[in-house]
Amino acid sequence: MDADRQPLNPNALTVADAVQLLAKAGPVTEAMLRADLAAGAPANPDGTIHLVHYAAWLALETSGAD
Amino acid sequence: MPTDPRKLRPGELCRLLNSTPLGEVISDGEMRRQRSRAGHRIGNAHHIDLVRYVAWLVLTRHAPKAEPVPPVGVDLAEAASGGAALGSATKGNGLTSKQEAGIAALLSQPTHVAAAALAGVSESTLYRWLQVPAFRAAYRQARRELVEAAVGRVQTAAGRAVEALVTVAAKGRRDGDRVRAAVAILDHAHRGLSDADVLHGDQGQADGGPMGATDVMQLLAGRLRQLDAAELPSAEKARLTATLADTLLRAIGVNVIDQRLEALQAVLGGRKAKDKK
Repeated sequence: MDADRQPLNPNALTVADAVQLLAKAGPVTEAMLRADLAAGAPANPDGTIHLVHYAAWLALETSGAD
Repeated sequence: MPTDPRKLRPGELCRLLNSTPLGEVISDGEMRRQRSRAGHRIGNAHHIDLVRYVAWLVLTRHAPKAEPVPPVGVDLAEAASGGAALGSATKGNGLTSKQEAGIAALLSQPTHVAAAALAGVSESTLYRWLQVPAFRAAYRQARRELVEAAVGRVQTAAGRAVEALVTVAAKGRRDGDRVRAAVAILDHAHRGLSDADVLHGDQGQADGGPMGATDVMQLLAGRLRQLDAAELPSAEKARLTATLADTLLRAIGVNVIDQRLEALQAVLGGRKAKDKK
């Protein structure tokens, strides 16, 4: 049950959890995240996503974009 | 006091992002630009929500890419001339780079909607720009230069087409090919001379011109003889003869009708004599 779930850890989000979290702020899809990971977005050794590291990578990737 | 990732000051977010193993990834200036672009989607006037910021970055990264606008890559063209046109048209005219991208998009896209999407602005912004005299003038100039470049390419191609015709007329493998090429050249030469006469206001016979009616007639008479001697099927000969005769009639004016008849009689006389032999 959702109620039993641990609070999300922004330092180690599974892709599904990250999508669930980010989708509340916009139409982010799992395919987008997986594409970013395939393109070199940082991931923890266990495959989870560190939100700040991911944000830093995105900031770098999108810098200068209009 | 622990930092709330959903309520970060811009400076805090900057420091946080630059503290990862990736090193410095964003400057204060870039952060300002991002906040300006994202607006309330990532927070309010004082704070940024990390989750909303990441979502915005993901969506920005995966937004449909505007095709790179070659300095005006219109394959139409296109790229080289288009880019040159845009470059010269917008240089030093006070337009922003966004507006220059708007002009490039207008030149390369079929609709204003598509152009706005490509330039990354709203359609209403594009329409508003089109009301700005400087923007409109730059757009008009870029468009004019594109058209001129296209006309230049057509002229170059026409030159190459004439060269091909001349080559075939002189070195074609078959008589029929050479004759057809010659007819085409004469036909176009005649039309070109007529056009030139109209342009220069001279409708008279071009005695001193590059190819007067007499010259044309002699050439055609020669081609008729060549055609007569060629080993071609009768039907093909008849068709080519008719074409040559038609070209001849169009090539000469009524004031040289006697010469035309004389030449035709000479050719026909020669053919009859040959038949009797």
